[in-house]
Amino acid sequence: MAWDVSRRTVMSGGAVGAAVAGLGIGRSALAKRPLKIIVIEEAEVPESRLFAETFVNSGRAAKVIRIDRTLNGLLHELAIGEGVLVGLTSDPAAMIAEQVLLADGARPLLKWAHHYRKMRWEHRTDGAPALLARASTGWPTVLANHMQDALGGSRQAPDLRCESGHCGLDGKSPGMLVSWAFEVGVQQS
Amino acid sequence: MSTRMPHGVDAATFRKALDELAAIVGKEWVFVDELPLSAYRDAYSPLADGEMLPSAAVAPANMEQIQQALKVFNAYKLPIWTFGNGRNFAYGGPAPRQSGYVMFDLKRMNRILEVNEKYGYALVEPGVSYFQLYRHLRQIGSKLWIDPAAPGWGGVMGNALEHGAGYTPYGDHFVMQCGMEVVLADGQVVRTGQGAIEGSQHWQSTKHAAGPHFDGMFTQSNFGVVTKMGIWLMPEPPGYKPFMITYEREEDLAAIFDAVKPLKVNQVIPNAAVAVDLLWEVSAKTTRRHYFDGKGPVPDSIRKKIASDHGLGMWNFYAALYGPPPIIENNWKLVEEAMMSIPGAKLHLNRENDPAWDYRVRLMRGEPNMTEFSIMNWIGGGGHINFSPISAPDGKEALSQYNLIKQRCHDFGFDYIGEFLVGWRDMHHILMIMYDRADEAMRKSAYDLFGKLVDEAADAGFGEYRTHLAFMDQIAKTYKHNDGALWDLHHRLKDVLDPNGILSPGKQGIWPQAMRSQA
Ligand SMILES: Cc1cc2nc3c(=O)[nH]c(=O)nc-3n(C[C@H](O)[C@H](O)[C@H](O)COP(=O)(O)OP(=O)(O)OC[C@H]3O[C@@H](n4cnc5c(N)ncnc54)[C@H](O)[C@@H]3O)c2cc1C
Repeated sequence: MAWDVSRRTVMSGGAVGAAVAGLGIGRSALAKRPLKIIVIEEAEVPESRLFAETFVNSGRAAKVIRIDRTLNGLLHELAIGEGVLVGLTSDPAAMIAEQVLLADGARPLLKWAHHYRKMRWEHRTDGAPALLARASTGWPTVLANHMQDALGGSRQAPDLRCESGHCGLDGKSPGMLVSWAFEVGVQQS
Repeated sequence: MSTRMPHGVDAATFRKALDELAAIVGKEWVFVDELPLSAYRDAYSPLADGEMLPSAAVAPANMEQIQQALKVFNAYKLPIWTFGNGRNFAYGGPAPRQSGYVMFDLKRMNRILEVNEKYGYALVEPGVSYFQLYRHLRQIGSKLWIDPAAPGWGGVMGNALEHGAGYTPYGDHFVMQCGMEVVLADGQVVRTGQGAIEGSQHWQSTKHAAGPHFDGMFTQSNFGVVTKMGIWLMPEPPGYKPFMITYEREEDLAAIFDAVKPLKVNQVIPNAAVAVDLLWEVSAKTTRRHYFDGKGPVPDSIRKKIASDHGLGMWNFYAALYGPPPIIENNWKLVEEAMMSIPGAKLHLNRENDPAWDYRVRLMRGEPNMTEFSIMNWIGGGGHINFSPISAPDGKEALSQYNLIKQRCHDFGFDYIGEFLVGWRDMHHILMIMYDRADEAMRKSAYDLFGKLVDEAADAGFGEYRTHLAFMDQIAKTYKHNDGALWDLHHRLKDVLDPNGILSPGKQGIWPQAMRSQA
């Protein structure tokens, strides 16, 4: 059971401070140590595949966990021990992952929203709007690179919005996606 | 530490109570910081952010810790919110009825205490999920099925206590519940039914015992903390035949339920028979934005295109037959004759590469999964509440409910996304109101629509079988017969069983005396 993963003692701990509800949680203060990055790929979602592929090609992903459309894997495969879990997934998959990871004591690092409206993608992220705005269907690649920077600590202004140029929506894309990252299994001091 | 406090309790007193609780359950099982407490949020809430948030959470490991913790809650008059798996999304998730409550999180109590292959039942603790029970049965080589609700992460106990439903012939979970162990607010432990006989071997086999039947009192209520529950499990049948029939016209709903009623009542169709509307059915495969970028409900012309693109009907009827193959084939003739007589009906015995068909077929044979969450992609933005009126399975009734509710959805700018599910004699109508939580106006409209539907349904003589936290009081008030005598009875019981009003105040509109005037 995921619940068996020991939860932190919080009675005496200081306030952790990151609110999960909003966008742009961005605590890029990831410890300087190189952490294992594991990418969650929602196999049915084209943008999610491209995002995962970028992480793999950059050599930064220690592992890719593929989730099929039952979404069952989100309940059974996220117990990774220690590291950072990242994903660009559909909104329901992001919600399920968040519930599971928070209950296991994971720390949210960022949560960004990507919404397809009126023939464009609208992105709400921490930083890098110019890059995302220039990208059209290739935006998950730009996002993956940007997220690697953000996790590495080069943080920019919070909660920015931008719109991509005109582009179509892949028939398999939900058109509302969430990119997210959680730090798992690292004791906070 | 969170700045929220239980109402009327000062910070120093609260800290003292938490210290005492930590001494009982262990310091690592008392949560007070914002990060761990954020796990108890209703992610789909129809309310603005910042409402219905806890002050702390306490997770006991066993019944003795529950008893000791209740002493502390009573001593300090701390309101608590009890739950098992806490996946009650669409009805409030794990969130408390009011901000400041202490979460009484029973997830750690997740033992499967017994599986009885011979008599077909399991005895479980509050934190056992459908996935867990399913895997356990497969591991031990059991030939018993479970009956999961659509979200496989839900709890066997929590769902049954909420009167939840699944899709095999054992789909009415409270009907399939047998025997409970409950800790009352004063710490006394009670076993219901035959469980009250010392050494009884039949606690999970028969619901009946001498004296009144109390189990129902601990469902959708705040009269006790349930620590064990028996659940009947269906033996794997020798044959299984799932099917879907699509119907072309919205008005066909009346004929569908007139045809289904005798098949259900006579147990020809033994499982929950479901008529799913076009948009619910298609939303596991595509989203609204692929078809329509405008405001308001998807126009009829586009609905027709969606139906044709995906080989669907305005209603899509799912059910299954179970048993020895000759019996299935015999019963199938009756089903075919009745259900295919409606003009335009199309039968599907298999659908390649169709996630909706796939997850329904799994659910009807008791395989838990999470696929139904993908229908949330229809709008995106994670807002969702269920409006769930119940009535008799009558065709005319179903159609008039559908017309009324669909019209209201459209008046408020929402798509109608719903299904009708027929159990033993009842018809559950589930309307999914979906909204983008980031769109404040849309969230507010969803809230207003829900409130209006509650009142209009009550005027038409319907009640809801279950509801979101935010509407519990409103719905309680619709049970008006004889000046609200039923809720008076609930309140009289509440005052006797829980005089300090610590257990889940406001659950289902049942408030302790001290908080009653605010409701
Ligand atoms: C997409 C989607 C599809 C859904 N489909 C279905 C469906 O098919 N069928 C269905 O029934 N529901 C469905 N739901 C609603 C809900 O998700 C499930 O009912 C879920 O099983 C409820 O959560 P839970 O089992 O974890 O119960 P919990 O959240 O643990 O408990 C529910 C409530 O029961 C009470 N309770 C729980 N444990 C105890 C205890 N030990 N003592 C006293 N009181 C207790 C509490 O009041 C608690 O709030 C759906 C929701 C969504 C979002």
